[in-house]
Parts: sequence; C-alpha cells; structure tokens
Amino acid sequence: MSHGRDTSPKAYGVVGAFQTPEALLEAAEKVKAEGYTKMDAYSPIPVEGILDVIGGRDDRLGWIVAGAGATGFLAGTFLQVWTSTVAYAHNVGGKPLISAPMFFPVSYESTILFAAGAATFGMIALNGLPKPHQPVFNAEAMVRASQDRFVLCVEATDPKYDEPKIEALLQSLGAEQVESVRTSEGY
Amino acid sequence: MAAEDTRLKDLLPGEWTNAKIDDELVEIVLDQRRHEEAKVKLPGPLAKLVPAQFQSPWYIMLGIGFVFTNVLLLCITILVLTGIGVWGNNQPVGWGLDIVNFVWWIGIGHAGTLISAVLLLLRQQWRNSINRFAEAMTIFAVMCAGMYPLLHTGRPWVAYWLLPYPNVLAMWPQFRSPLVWDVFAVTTYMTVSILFWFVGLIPDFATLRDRAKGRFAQVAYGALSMGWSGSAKGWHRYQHASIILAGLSTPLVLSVHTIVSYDFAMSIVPGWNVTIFPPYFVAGAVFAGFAMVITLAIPLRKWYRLENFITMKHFDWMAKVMLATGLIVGYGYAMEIFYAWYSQEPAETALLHNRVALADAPYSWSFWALILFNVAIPLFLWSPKVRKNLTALFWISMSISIGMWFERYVIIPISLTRDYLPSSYGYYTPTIVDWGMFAGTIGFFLFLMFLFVRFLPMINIFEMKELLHHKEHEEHHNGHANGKAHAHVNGQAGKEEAH
Amino acid sequence: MSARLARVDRGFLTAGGLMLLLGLVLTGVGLLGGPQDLTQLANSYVFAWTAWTCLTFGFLGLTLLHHATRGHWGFTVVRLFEAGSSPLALLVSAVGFVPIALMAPSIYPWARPAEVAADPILQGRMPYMSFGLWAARAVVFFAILIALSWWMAKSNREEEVTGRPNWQRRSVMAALGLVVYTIVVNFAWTDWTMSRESHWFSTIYGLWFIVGGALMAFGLTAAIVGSQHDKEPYDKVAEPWLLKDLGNLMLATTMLWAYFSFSQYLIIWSGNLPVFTKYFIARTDGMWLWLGNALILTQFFIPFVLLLSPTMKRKPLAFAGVGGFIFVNRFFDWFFIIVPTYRSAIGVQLLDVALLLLFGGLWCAQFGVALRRAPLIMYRRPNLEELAESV
Repeated sequence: MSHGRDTSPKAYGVVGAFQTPEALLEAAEKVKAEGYTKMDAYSPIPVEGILDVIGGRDDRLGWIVAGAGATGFLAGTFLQVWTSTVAYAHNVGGKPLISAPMFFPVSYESTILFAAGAATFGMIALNGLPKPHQPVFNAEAMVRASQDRFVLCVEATDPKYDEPKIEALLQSLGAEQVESVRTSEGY
Repeated sequence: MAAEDTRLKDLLPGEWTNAKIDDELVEIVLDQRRHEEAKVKLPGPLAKLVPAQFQSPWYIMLGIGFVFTNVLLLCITILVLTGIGVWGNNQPVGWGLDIVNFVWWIGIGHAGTLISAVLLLLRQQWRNSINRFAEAMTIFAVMCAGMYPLLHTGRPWVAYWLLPYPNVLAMWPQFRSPLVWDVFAVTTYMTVSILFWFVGLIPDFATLRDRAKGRFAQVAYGALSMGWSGSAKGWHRYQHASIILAGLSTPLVLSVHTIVSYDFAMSIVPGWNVTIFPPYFVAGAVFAGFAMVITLAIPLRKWYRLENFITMKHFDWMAKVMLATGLIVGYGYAMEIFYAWYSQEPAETALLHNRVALADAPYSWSFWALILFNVAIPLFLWSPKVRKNLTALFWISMSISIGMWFERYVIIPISLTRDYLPSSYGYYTPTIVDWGMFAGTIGFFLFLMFLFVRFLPMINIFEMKELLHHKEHEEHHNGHANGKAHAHVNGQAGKEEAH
Repeated sequence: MSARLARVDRGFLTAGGLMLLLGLVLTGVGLLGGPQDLTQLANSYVFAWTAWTCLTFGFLGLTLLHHATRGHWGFTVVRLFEAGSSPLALLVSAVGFVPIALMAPSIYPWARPAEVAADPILQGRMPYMSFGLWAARAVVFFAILIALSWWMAKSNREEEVTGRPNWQRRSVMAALGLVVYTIVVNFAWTDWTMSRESHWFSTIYGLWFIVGGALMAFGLTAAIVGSQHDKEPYDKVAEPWLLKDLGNLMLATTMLWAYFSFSQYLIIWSGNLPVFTKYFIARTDGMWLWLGNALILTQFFIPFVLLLSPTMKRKPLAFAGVGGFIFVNRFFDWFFIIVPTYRSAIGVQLLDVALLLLFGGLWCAQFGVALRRAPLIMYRRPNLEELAESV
C-alpha cells in the first residue's frame, strides 16, 4: 500500500507527565536550558506563560478576523446597495434608494457573521484540526493530558534529540510515565 | 473589573482536585445512573403507573418535554394543512401570540450570550459554572423563537425566499424593512451562538473522549473533539479565538434585540414608534434571560448535586443583575406612560388610556399584570434575605418570565387593536392552536434541555479546573500574606441554603 | 526617588481663574456690544449652562455607579468623581439656573401665554408645564441631587478617616441613589431642554443626556490621570490595568452614546412623522448637517478606533489625549443638541464662547477647591498594590 513514502513507525518524541502546571513550567524551562528547542506541552487547562518557554506564539488569528470582518461589512453593504439601486430598484415609503441608516443593521450583522466564522474556523485550521489521530496520542500519559496531567513532549525533530538522555532528564525533573513515542504504522 | 469582595473560595467551595472535578462533571454525561439517582414523588395514581426506575427528574422532565413536543408537532401540522387562519390573528391584529412568543423566546436566549461573552470580557469569574447551560439555553430558545416567524409566513417551505439569492423572479429582499434585518440578525445570532458554544465544548469533548469506556462514546466524542490534544500552541490560539468570539458576541447580542425592537419601532403605530425601545428591549431580554437561567439552575443544581459549582454567590450575582435590569425595564414603562401623556397627541393619549384605564380598555388588565409580575414582585430582590432564599428566587424568576410575556402582549394587541382609525378598532383572541404552540415550544425547549444535560457536560469542565487553579493560587497567596493556615469551607454552600 | 506631586487642584484653580476672567470680559463685550436679541442670549446661556451642568451630573452618576458596584477601577479616581459633583458644584449649577428661570419666556414656548393660548398641546400639559410647578420641580431636583452628593461624600470620608468599614450601607444607598438619580436627571432635562421644543419629544432623551454626561466625566478623568501619570500619587496607580479598565469603560460609554443617538435617529427617520422629524430637520438644515456628520466621526469613529487599540491604553499620554479629545468634543455635541432649536443658520456667536468660558471658569475653580479638601487617592481601602496584582 506504500506510495513510495516510508510509513513504518518512527521516533516522534519523548513525553513525561507532571502533576501541576507549575511543575510543567519549571520542567520546560530546565529542558530548554539544556538546549532543546522543539517542545510542546499538553494540558487540560491553558498554562500561563508556557509559550514564552517553548515558543510558537501565533498572532495571525486577529488579522484573519479583522480581514473577514471588513469583508463582511463590504459584502453586506454591497449586497444592499446593488440590489436596491441596480438589481431591483423600487421606491419604498418615499425613502431614498440608498437609505444609509437603514442599511446599517444588515451590514453590521454580516460583519459579525463573517468575523465570528473566521475566528472559529481560523482557529480550527491554524490548529491543524480536525485530526482525530496524532502520533503523540500513542503515549500512555496523553490519556490524562485532558484530565489532570500536564505532559511535556520533546519532539524528535529537535537537533539534539537523543531518547535515553531526554528520558533521564525528564525523570530527574520528577516526571511520571516517561516514555519514548513512535508514530503509528502507516501514519 | 471584578468586584472587590468576591473570593474564589466562594465560587468553588470545598476541597477539589482536577480528578474530582472530572468525577463529578464527566460522569453526569458518561454514566446514565447519575440521572436516575434523584427521585421525585409522583402523585398517587401516577406513582403506580410509572415504573420505579423512571421516577427520576430526568425521565419525568424529558417525558413532559416529549409529550409537549408532540403537541407542538400536532399544532404545526394543523397550521400547515389549514393555514394561519387557525391562529387568532386577523385584521386589525396581524401580529398575535406568534410574535409575542417569538420576542419572548429570543429575549430568554440573550442571557446565555451575555453570561458567556460579556462576563468573559469583564473578567467576572462567577460566569464559569453557569455559562455552558446558559449557552445551550440560548440555542434552544432561538430555535423555539425562529419557528414562529417561519410558520407565520404561511408557507414555511418557501421560507428561503427571505434570503437574498438570484432567482427567476428577479426579486430581492427589501432591505429597508426591519423584518429583513431580523432575518439577518436571527440567523447570525443562531450561527454565532452555535460556533461559540462548540468552541467552548472542544476541550471538554477531548476529556470525554479520554474518559469514555464505551467504543461508541469514544468515537463520538473523539470526532466532536476533532483531535484536540490540549497542546500549548493549540491553547494559545484557542484562547485568542474565545476572546475574539466574546468580543463579537457582545455587540451581536445587543444588536439582535435592538433589531427585534426595530420591528416595532420602525412603524408609526402608537406605542411602537418609541425611541427608548432599543435599550429597554435589551434590558428586558437580559432580565428574562437571567430569570430563565435561575429557573433552570435551581432544580438542576439540586438534582445533580452541583451545590459546590453553582453557589449562593452565583445566585446572588444573578439576582442583582435581574434587579438592575428589572429597574431599567420599569423605568422604560414609566417613560412610555409619561411621554404618552406629555406628547398630548390624540393617538398617544388614547394609547395611554388603553393601557392603564380600568374601564373601556379591554386589555388594560395585561398592563397591570405586567406591572405586578415584572416591576412589583422583583422589588423583593432588594432584600439580601430573599436573594439567599432559593424558593423565593425560583418563584420571583417565574414571575419575571410571566411578566416578560405580558410585556410583549401589552405591546402587540393593545397597540394593534386600537390605532389611528376608530373605525378599524377590533379585538384579538388567541385560539387553542396559539396556546398549544406556546405550550409546545416550552415542551420542546425542555426536551432539548434535558437531552443536553444527558449528553453534553452542562458545566464547563476545563474552566472549572482553571478556576480551581486560580483558587489554589489565591489560597497560597493569602496563606503567605496572612501568615496563617487557610480555613477551608467544605460544605458551606449547603448550609447557606436557608429555605 | 520621590516623584513630583500632581497639583491638579492648582492647575484647575489657575485655569478656572483665567477662564472666568476671559469669560467675564467677553460677556461684557458681548452684552455691551450692541442691542441684544434676548432669545439668542438665552439660547447661548442655556447651551453654556447645560454643557457644564451635564459634566457635574455625569460625575455624580459615576460616583454613584462606583459606590454601587465597587469595581477596582473606581478606587483610584473616585476622588475626582466626588470633586466633580460636590454639593458646591451642584450649587453653582443651581445658582446658574436662576437666570434661566428669569428668561423663561425667551426660552420655553409654554412660558409664552400667547403661544399657549393658540396651542392645545401646550394647554394639555398645563398645569404640569406651568412656570410655578416647573420652578418648584427644579428646586426639588437640585435639593435631591445635592443631598445624594453630600451623603455619599460624607459616608466615604467617614470610612476613610475612622477606618470603620461602612461600605455595605453606602453600596445599597448608591444603588437606590442611582434609581433616584436616573429619574431626577431624566425629568430635569425634559423640563430644562426638551421642553424648549413645543411639541417634539423623545423617550430616550433622559438616558441620552445621562450617557453624554458620563462620557464627558470619563474623558476628563482620563485626561487628568493620563497626564499626571508620572506624578504623585498617580505614579503608583496609573498602571496598565487601570488605564485599560478606564479605557474600556470609556469605549463602552462611547458605544452606548452612538447606539442611543443612532437608534433615535433611525426610529424618527423611519417613522417620518412631522412631530418628530422637526427636531432633525432643524439639525440637518444647511451647515448644521455637516456639524452633525462631523460628530459621527469625532464622537464615535475616531474615539472608537483609538480606544479599541491596546497599545494606546499602555501609553498614558496618548490615553490622556484621547480622554481630552472626547471631553472637548462633547461640547460640540451639546452645541448641536441645544443651539439649533433657536438658531437656523449655523455659526458661533461671541456669547456662546463667552458664557461657556464663564461657566467653565466657575466649574474649574470649584473643582480645584473641592480637590483641596481631601487627598487625591484614598489609601486606606483597599490596598492598591493588592488590587494591581489581583487583576
């Protein structure tokens, strides 16, 4: 079934679970101090300050939403102006064809509709969802990452990646369930 | 901007860990037995009829909801087969109970968005345990509301004509009509509410996926979670999206009820063409919405033992919001009365007479009912004792729901039965189908609500964990600051409930 | 390192003195400059008096709002609110009201017997809208507002001086006070400015004036706190969270103002009934239209965009600029609301400016005096450092 791509299991990373967000943050800082750069953390609640350690800040969403909102406003306004002057111009209650105050509500609603859609689907797309299976789910510890464990993962893409060394490091930092994760067959 | 005297221990009393929060909240969804624990005492003959295992609030409420959903379906069938003449609407009252109920339901929906969005922006932590089911309430209420104008078109199967699309008739919507604004406002509101609700549920779906035992639940919740892993980068974008959605929902919720008020205010009917309508409709919507949240929260909290999540502090805050919005609404009624007199316009003074006079004003009883239910009774909320008494709070909330229904009743039949031309004066009497549909939508709402309680977490799990984290941080901080051990208040919520 | 002391009181006393002097001179010039049209004089007077009285009422509303809700943002600026709505400030407005009462026939159609005799609507409003009851109501309104202001300040000072917490009582009183305040202010502006139009009315008028006044008060507060951010005592509190909260409140008030104004316009424009459109016809006539259009920009779009920006709220001086901009623009809005009733061609007359300066001088002077009475920030409660941390 291979399409020329090697789909045999490969190293994905080393994970270790911590009990509290503070422990996770401390561990991430120490791992970073050891010179590792490719990390991610998995937690049941957002951990304040973790991005400053592992990197990956992404501010694109705000711009996407702003662009979508502006598009929505223009689209709503264009729709109304075009239909009531060109496509289907008719006099209603003696009001001008372009009744600016009366066109505002629909333009306003379409602004919000476009912007909210962009915020939701933009977030989902930027997060790479939907993606029901991810290699990191192969780790035992990940089952509780949505409940009460704070999991740190040093990824195999790290230039200094060395499984035994990282495992030892995580263990020394007090992590439970330290484990090297491989990707699934065929993934 | 959080109020000074709120402490997190009051919002999440008791000893908690993340695992215990999961045990409480996740199990309500995953374990059917949690819905059979609480028992209700049925009256004699019914108790014999209904098997013992079904004598729990969940089954009973779902059953009532199911029965009335069928009443709704029956009424809709009669309506569609016969035409909207089966309603009491006629000249001069073209807008009858259907529009009263439409506005009533839309108003109820607003508290959900308000709690989720506005309180998130204001960083009010007391929103956390009530936002999820308030949002669900919003969606179900908007579903009930949306039904009325669609059926009122008479041919709901061509309701898509309301939307702007190129068609063979070469016609387009009339964008100077507030009814077209309504189409845009309500569809936007429905869509954005669902998006906001879904975004809020994603991390909880992941928790459910990971805790589910059955294969079906695992796959279902796994699909809904879309593979949420809780990665730090994911959370970062997630929080950004949440705050943006809150920022968008706040002006949206205000605009929706504003546009509903424009449905009336854009016309020149006496009593409708009123400039205070937009803010007073919005305040009324918040008022009605919070009343419904309290009406639902009190029994749910009891049946599912959520005393530590929905605390007396939450009820106190909600009661205060109700009091404030109730006063604004009362102010609105007073201004309408005063300026109707001040104007000295014949049509306006006649309207004033039709609202308040005790003789020769066939619907003035509804105005006085409104004042009683919506202005007088909620004044009890000034008393802190009443705000702490759940029984009182429940009945005051009920009174507000009734009062808000009367508000719309006052606005519609009183103005329409007697407007400018005495020769076109008339009466309006709702029919059995009108009432059946109203009862039916209430049943449909309950039915959806209790299905929601069964299959989705009614309290936001990850936000409760966040709250717990902040609480531990606060206790840690206080412990250091005061140099003394922090006394825990286990079970305090239960004691505070003075009935 | 001790920062310089913010001498807000001195600044306002100096500015007040200068404005008062200039205002007196210009008023003198205006009055002696030629024969007076009493209607135009009264029109200028009502504009100047209303603008500054709205500022005082706005501050009173914010004082009550702070005591009722006790939000963090309020503790640092409540002293400014109190000084802006002290009993003295209200008394200045009350005294300023006397000439309005004296000039009533030049201002109010209902005070002109000939007009009333020909107008069944004005007759229908009798005796409510007759001079005696109207003047008596004004006395009652001022008495109630002065009592509210006095009690709130007294109760707050007591807690500060003695250290005994009494805020719970004050909070309840402030909530009740807000109810009373809204009703009083609503009826007051109906009497004092709305009734200048013989038939026109709008049910949102009172709320519109309340929000306009609150916006003015927020603008001035932001200007003071932002510009004094590096001086004692604001150097300790002009932190990002405070500016952010104040900025967001200002944003919300700006939006509320726009919402009320737009809704009122849309409803009247759509209904197109002669009674109501009269008001906007006067305000869209000739060049008035351009002032109205400019106000949409300066009172809504510009502040809205500026206040949305998080960067602006991190720069105290820029923040002060936005506050000042909002504050100054409010005067143009009051001009647009008040003046066209009696002036068909747009134009600023000497007396508009002279009387505005005169009342402004009085207002600033009393503000300076009131600020001297107590420290700018109450230290006792709550602990400000804790506040900053808990946000």
